[in-house]
Amino acid sequence: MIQVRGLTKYYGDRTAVDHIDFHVKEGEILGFLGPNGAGKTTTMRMITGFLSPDEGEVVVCGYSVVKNPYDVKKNLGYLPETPPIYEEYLVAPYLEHICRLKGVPKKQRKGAVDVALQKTGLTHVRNRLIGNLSRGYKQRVGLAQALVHDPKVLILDEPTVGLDPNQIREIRELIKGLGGSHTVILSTHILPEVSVVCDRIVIINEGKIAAVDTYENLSATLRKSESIELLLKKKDDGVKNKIGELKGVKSVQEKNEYLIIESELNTDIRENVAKLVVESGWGLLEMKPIHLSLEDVFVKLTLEE
Amino acid sequence: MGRLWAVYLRELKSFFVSPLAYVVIGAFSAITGYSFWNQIQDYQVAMLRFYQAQQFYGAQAGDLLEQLNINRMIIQPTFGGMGFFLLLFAPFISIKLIAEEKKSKTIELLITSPIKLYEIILGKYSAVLTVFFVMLALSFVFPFFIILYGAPDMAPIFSAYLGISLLGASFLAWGFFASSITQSPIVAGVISYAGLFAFWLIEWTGRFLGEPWNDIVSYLSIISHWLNMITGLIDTRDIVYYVSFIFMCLFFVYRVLRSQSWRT
Repeated sequence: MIQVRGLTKYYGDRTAVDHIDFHVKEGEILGFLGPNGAGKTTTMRMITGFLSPDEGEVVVCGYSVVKNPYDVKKNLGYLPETPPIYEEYLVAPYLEHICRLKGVPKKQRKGAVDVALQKTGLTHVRNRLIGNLSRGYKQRVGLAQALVHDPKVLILDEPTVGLDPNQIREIRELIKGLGGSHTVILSTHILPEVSVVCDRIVIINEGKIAAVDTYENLSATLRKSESIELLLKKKDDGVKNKIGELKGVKSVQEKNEYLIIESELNTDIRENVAKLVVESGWGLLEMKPIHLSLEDVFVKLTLEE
Repeated sequence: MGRLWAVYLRELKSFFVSPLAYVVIGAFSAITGYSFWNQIQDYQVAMLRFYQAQQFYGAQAGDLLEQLNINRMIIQPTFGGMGFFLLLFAPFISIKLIAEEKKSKTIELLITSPIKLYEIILGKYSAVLTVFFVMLALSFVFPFFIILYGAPDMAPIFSAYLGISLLGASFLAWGFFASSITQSPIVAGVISYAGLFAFWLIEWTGRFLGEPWNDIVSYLSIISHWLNMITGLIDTRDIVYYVSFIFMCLFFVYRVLRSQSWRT
């Protein structure tokens, strides 16, 4: 649905986006993750046709953004970093204006506005002045603006900024619901958001792609070993040594109350550990595998060479 | 076409929901009205002197009556003043056109919508023209009173309106261009005034240059063409000047918007 090939943008001497390649399948939700200034917004602006790439190309729905921007824009909904709202408008008339701009036929406009209001939870403020709404509501108006004409492709630049936790959950549910029928690219700083909402993740750092994969695969690739956490009633050096002698165990360390047992990749030592603990009567209180959190993945990819 | 209409409506709305349009139209009407009233007072004094002269010199004073032409005494100076006031007021309504969209980032919405650049430009330009013509329509009261109490020549009034329409449209087009190159309405305002005054004052330079530069420079002056029109002279060259000036400014706006997608 979206193909990005060799996309590059220079700002003076600085290379903001450096020959990046990725694609998004139809109906997929792709998370765009990266530290500030990594080139997320620049990339999104080039996909929407707001900025022209210096090199490379973007193809959306079979149309090139550079050669056929008009056809691309017809299929596109875009929520920029700052919601593009006119403060002097009421919510519903603003969305009608958007429908007119996007070329929604007159007869379908009212219906389209009602659906967008309902999806973004704005029905009760439809006759309020946008300028008087809170930040979270303005953000939702921005989101409603992006999807009012039911575009095939949605580009959302940090859609949950400024929302309270409940609203964040609602908007995430909404975006999740859009997957399947819409193709979505969403950028964010909030790591759990990507793991909850997105099918695949692109991690971008200093204008280059650090990784493209599903969350599960990313954390698996970056793991160099398996670890489990163990909480026992009895704890002394003898215990540590005995566990250390088990097959496959690389190291045993103490961290607060817990023992962290590291083993070789793709081995599951939990059964053997449990057996040993029970047989020795050390009193098993807790045992759980440690997953690499998205935060760890992110830090590893963006900070490590 | 529907999208051009959308841009037009939204722009027009932004003028009339804010105090801007009312303040500019109100101030312009008040100032031009005051200037008109002054011309009337002048004319009355002149008429009084004529009647006094007639009592002394009898029929010989008839020649003086020729001088007291209502078109020349009232209409020409009123429109002359109006052109200058327009130069002062027009930038206020044109400088926000693009600069404000850039500042509030709504330009991203416009550029990423399936709408052609020329539709954005024409939509916005038509909206400021509408505000301008509303402003100009209020000045119809001046000729109305003159027709009510006197017998002016109608043709110069029409040509003066044609002239002031073209002059105003040119001022607005220049302001539109100034607005497109910055995101600060104040900077756009300064560029707007500097450019308009330069186009106005270039007429002086034309006076002391030799052949053939004097003609060329005078032709470039935005004011000389309009001075012809308020005296009732409609020349195609003058119309061509304004139409090409407007076209040039709008074309610049187009180029600026096109090139900006290559920068930030």
